[in-house]
Amino acid sequence: MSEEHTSGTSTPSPAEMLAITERQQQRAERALDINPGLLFGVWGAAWVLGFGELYLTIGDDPVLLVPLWQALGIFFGCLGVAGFITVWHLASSLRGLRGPTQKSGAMHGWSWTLGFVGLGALIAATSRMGISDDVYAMLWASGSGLLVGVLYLSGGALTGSWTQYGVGLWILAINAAGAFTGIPNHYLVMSLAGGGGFLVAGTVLTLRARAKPSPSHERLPGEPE
Amino acid sequence: MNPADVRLDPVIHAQARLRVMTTLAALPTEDRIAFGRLRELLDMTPGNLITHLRKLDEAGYTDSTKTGPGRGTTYVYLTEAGRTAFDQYMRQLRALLEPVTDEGDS
Repeated sequence: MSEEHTSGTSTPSPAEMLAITERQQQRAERALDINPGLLFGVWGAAWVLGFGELYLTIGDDPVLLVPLWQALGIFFGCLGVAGFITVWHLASSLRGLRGPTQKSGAMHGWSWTLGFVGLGALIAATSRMGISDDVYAMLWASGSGLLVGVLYLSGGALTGSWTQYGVGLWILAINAAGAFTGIPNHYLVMSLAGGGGFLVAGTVLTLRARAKPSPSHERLPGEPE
Repeated sequence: MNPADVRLDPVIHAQARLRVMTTLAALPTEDRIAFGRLRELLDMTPGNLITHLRKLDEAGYTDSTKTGPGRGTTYVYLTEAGRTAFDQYMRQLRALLEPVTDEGDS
């Protein structure tokens, strides 16, 4: 009996009950769901700024004169901020949850980390054979593009998301084409087409989420009172 | 038609328990949520939530299991029976409000 007084004086009408469940569902989804629009937006901004800055500061005839270590510091700073926001968002959405979704999410997260560790090892081994700075830079840029593209393909395939799959295809395509423009031009391709592509995907997903019909209002007039 | 004609599941048909069921149903099947996080999403006091969960557990709609050593954490999830009951409840609720069923309103 102690529980009944907390659930209102008497049982609400069906219309009210429907409004209650829809409101709670919205609240739960907002708190629990991962927001892909936000993540695409954050990484899009990081790529546009980071690769854009590399393009402007690196090369034989750079637009901006900045020491290499500073240019790389800014670049990794951009990626670091995006990474931090991603981890923070995932951690707050998934807090207190256990089960198959969390497990596959964690496995997917680790495949990004392991992929980049593997890429780093491959490039380190290659650089021991004696390669120029441009080749080194190209391996990092296009290798990362390849890895990112493939991971989006597999993420999209497993979740049945055409948006993610499409982003994967797009990144693979612009990375393959951009690589032929050489360093530093490939940075510009990664910035505008790569980062820009993420921003487009993020905008599309955000608009689609907004367009989702907000429930609970139309049905109320039918109440029997 | 008269709402009294349809018997809504009394276990679910109470504001607090409906909100608990709604929140659990928002999780993918087989995923569990920690008691504390569930409480945050519902703005309920621990004692209140425990009372309602006990009722839902007894009906077989939810499962609350303690995991981990020591005091551990309680994780709650919606059982298959719970999901079925919730879906049916929602269908009935919508049917009650659907004006499409003839014009037997008067």
